[in-house]
Amino acid sequence: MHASVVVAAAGDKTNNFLIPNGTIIFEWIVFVLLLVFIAKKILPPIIARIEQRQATIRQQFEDAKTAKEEAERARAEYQEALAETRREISRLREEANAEKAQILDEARTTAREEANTIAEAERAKLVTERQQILLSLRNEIGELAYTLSEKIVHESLRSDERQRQLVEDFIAGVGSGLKAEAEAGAAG
Amino acid sequence: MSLPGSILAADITVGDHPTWHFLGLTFNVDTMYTTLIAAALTVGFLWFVARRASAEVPNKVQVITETVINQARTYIEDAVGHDVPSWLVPLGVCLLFFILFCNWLAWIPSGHSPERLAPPTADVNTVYAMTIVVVILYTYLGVKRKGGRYVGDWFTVKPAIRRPILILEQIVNPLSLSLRLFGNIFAGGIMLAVIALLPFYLFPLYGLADFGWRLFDSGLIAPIQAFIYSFLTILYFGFATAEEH
Repeated sequence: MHASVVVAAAGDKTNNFLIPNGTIIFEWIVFVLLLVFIAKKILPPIIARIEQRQATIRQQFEDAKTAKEEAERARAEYQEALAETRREISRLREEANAEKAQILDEARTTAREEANTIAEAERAKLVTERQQILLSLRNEIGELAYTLSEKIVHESLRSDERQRQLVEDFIAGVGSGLKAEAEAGAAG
Repeated sequence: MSLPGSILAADITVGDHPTWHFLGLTFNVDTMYTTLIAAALTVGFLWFVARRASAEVPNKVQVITETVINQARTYIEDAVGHDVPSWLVPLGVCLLFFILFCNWLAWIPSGHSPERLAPPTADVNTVYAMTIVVVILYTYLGVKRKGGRYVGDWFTVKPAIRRPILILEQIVNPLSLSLRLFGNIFAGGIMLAVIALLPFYLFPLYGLADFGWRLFDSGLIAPIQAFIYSFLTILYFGFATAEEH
């Protein structure tokens, strides 16, 4: 059998395969009908479904985002509250410290003042007592001097011996009197 | 026409169709019924996806198809910009699946010679018809968006060197769009015929080559060509509506 390659375009003028024939009309109508049918009937539910799914996904993303933002906000609030509490605590501690220092200071001042007052009073009392002692001594000495001078006058003419005795007695009496006075003051 | 010295074992005829004459026009009968089959498959498949679209949990085919449709929407929105016309996404989807099913028809046994159905996309009538629809629609959208400037831009665009290119593109784009698809699918068929010419004692090789080529043709070329045709269509809609600055 002789082999041959029949290329229609080369040999047959009526059948160039790059030139369309009447079939194109049929093809065109079929394609347009197919396009219209698919556009009107088939695709809308699919596209609606895709859009719905995308909307759902978008919604879920937004929900997740919102939830995340809320969590973030709650966390920030919590931290803010925590920081606020910490500040409050430290403020209270400072106040307490200040108060403590003040109280201590006041107590110290009061104590010092009281001590001063007491010391002052004691000192005044001592001065008064001393003056009283001096006063009573002076009175006693005056009295003694009077008694002595009386005795001296009465006894002057008797003897020198007697005079000396008298003075010595007197001096001894003053001494014991002073001693007794001091003892009475210490006891009182 | 016979080639002298040829050792081929069979006749290869290309562009040969059983025809039907009506009103002085020639109709390729095989292209017409394979087109109807492909259209029916497209409608059936998309209907299946649409019907199952109401189900809560979509199956794998649905998910893939919806991803493809969604991708087409994204491309179209990127190309055309604001308010996409309602028919544009269906056009892209329809082209993609219809061409894909057309290309895949070569798998189906025909029960007579040729042994398997010829893809309708291996006939220029089909691709020209689709391209005419595409050109009409993108011209319509371009004129609707830009008015007289749609044509005016071809003559006023700067730099001036782009003007003849733009005018030439109006012819070349649709032609290349059609013939790229046609040529690839047509060549796939010729390839099968050439493989069939292997001598009978090489039949294991024939089986391997035939199956391998079909796998390559259907698995790679068919989807790629369907994608390229649809993608370029979307691109041309982008060109038609693009504002020149």
